[in-house]
Amino acid sequence: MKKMFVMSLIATLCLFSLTATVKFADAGEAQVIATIQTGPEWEPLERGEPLTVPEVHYRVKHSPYKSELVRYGQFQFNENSWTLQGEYSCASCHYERGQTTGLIWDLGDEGWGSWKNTKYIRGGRYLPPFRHEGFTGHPDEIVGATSSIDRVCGRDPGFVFRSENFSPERLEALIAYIRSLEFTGSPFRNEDGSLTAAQKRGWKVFSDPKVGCIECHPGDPNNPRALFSDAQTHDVGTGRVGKDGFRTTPGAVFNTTALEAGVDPYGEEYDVPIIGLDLVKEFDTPTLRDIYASGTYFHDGSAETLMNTIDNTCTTKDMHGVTSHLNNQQLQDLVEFMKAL
Amino acid sequence: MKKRSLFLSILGAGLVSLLISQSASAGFIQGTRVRTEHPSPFHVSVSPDGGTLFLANQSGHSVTFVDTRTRKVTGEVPVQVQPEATVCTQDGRTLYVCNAESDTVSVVDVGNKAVIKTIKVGDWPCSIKLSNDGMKAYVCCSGSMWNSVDIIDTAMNNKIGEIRTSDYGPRDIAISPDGKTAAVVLDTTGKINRCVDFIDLATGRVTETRVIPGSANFRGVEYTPDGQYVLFTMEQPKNWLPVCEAENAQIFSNNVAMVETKKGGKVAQFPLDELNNYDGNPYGIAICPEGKYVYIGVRGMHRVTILDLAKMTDIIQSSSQCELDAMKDDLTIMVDYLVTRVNVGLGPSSVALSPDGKICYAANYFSNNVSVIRTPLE
Ligand code: HEC
Ligand code: HEC
Repeated sequence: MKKMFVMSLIATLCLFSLTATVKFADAGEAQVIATIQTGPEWEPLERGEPLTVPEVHYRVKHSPYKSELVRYGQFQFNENSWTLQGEYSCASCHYERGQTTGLIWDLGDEGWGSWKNTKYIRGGRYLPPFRHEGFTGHPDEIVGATSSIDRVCGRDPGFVFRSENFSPERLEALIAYIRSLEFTGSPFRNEDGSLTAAQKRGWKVFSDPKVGCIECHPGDPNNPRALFSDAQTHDVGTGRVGKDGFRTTPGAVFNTTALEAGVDPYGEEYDVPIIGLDLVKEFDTPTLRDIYASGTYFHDGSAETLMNTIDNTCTTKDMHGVTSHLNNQQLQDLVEFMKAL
Repeated sequence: MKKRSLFLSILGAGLVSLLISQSASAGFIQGTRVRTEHPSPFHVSVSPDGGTLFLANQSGHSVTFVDTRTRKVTGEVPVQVQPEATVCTQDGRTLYVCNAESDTVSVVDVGNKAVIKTIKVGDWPCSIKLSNDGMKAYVCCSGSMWNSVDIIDTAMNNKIGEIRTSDYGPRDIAISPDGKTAAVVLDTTGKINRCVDFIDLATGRVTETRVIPGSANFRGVEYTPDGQYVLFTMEQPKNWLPVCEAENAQIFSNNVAMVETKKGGKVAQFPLDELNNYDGNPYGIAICPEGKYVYIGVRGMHRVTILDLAKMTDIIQSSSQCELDAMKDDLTIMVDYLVTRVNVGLGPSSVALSPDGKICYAANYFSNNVSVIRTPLE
């Protein structure tokens, strides 16, 4: 009697679960038994037909600030299913906070062996041209950002994003998201937003014409819109092509002894040092806003710290601002100032 | 200057919405000033009695309360900008919330569903845990040039000190079962060999820093219940190769690190990936109280991966460090300790277990919901 009751119960349950299209699993098998909605339901954009023609310039049609579009873009940025096997997303290199993990990569589209520091992408909309070599970018056109993403994420399958090119809609959403990322602002100022004593001293050095920072990194620390970049490319002694085509920056990441020995730039072993080769010597002047948050510095990450960008260890002497006459305190102050931006 | 204008406008918006409707769901998409109606739950925690879930809504700038029995939303408390973690006191009365963008911790009275105090902490607080006696809360301040775990006195609700980590970017903290030690994972921008610090909580000093070779993107950390190991989610960037060589596991692979807590102990990086089936961007982690299963929220692939901890322990115990190093790129080994993968909503960034370990909750960032998963323990 009891057995029959149980059986009929099971039968009804089965029926119920069939109609409710819930998978009826064995006991002990993990499964989702409920979903609690705590906000609006949300679905991502359809995958759509991918763009296949690399030459096509696609322009954003809608306002990039449209909220839904930006959220689709944020999703795109953080999701992996469009990589070949789900192995990574934009956020793996750029951080889910829209910043950078500070990892350096050989993306290959400027020639193999040209290692590039992952760019900090917050605030990027303010400042074409894009990428370290300063390709592309008409300040008034989103097309600059478009081409940047194109080239980074590769409409050419086989580069960074191997499996699938984005559909126009998805690309548009991604661009809208990236364009809407704002700078975070420095945590190193006084509570009221003013510069500390050390930062003020650093500002004096920074704006000294004999030192020259302000020439290429123009800006006023009291202006929240200042960008501290002239949006031009310059040779500041960071990208030199050495003998045999190898670069010769003696940065921390690079091993000059291996370089002189002419070791294969890619290396076969995990612990063979990375040796890069630049095709150009001039690089885009990066903004110094949020510089505290952007990890290793210069196009190839050769400067590990802010101090290394100005102490002539990673650049040809006095090519990146004239700093060799500054004393240690002045260099420290300069670093403190940059942290405030 | 720090985030001030954004902060003020949010404060303003918060006040207005409080006056008008008591609603808390208006916020901004993370990193932008674009308004959104989507709360985007980034983190889930469970009250000690298992009765309530707390969801930190990163874009909603609020915490949502859910009753686990009725599975209904019971309230929402506005906090400051971009909450990324919560922890509830043992008596269930107080909730601490990390507001990452505002650099504050909100103290919430759970009963009245109201913020009773806001405490200023270091840059980008994104994780918080309580000491075993409940007297202190430890807050990871994960700013890119910040290296403090701030200490809050839970009686006075004041910041009473800071622990200096060995490098920048402390992302998550776990307290050992005996309450004496903390493990803090450091997600340091620009480092290819990121570290985990072991901290003596009595002195507030780092006692050991363990380097994880070739690692990045540390997210969640937990102790095993026996205190012998810590496990944390991570990714391995393969950036010494040009990306044209990117084939299996060649750009990023996704791992869970398992580290012996005894000094100088072994370090294993267990792959989460199988050939053609990668667990891209592993985030939150939880370990059941019996030490049987490990749960990982795989944010980029919208699933929760469940691992068999005993099998992983066998592997680490029976292998030399050399063998463990060779294992980290092996895409055939995952099946040995995989229990199952459970598909959930979009962007599961955090997982948490009921006190008995029978239910696992996953906070789905993009779907704005929580998946309730019956675990294999049930
Ligand atoms: C494998 C790591 C990696 C991944 C994955 C990646 N990026 Fe990048 N990204 C880089 C690197 C490295 C650079 C700098 C390249 C250069 O300057 O030549 C860069 C530069 C950029 C820039 C230029 C920023 C500026 O101000 O100049 C944008 C925009 C960008 N990435 C967006 C994206 C988006 C969107 C995705 C996902 C579709 C993505 N990236 C995925 C590594 C990556
Ligand atoms: C001639 C123009 C010029 C001058 C003068 C100059 N810079 Fe630069 N700066 C650049 C360029 C170009 C780069 C990018 C180099 C690269 O990527 O390899 C750069 C890079 C930097 C970076 C690294 C930013 C990053 O995100 O990687 C910092 C920091 C910096 N400059 C600070 C300074 C300071 C401080 C001074 C004064 C001592 C200074 N610069 C003077 C052009 C200049």
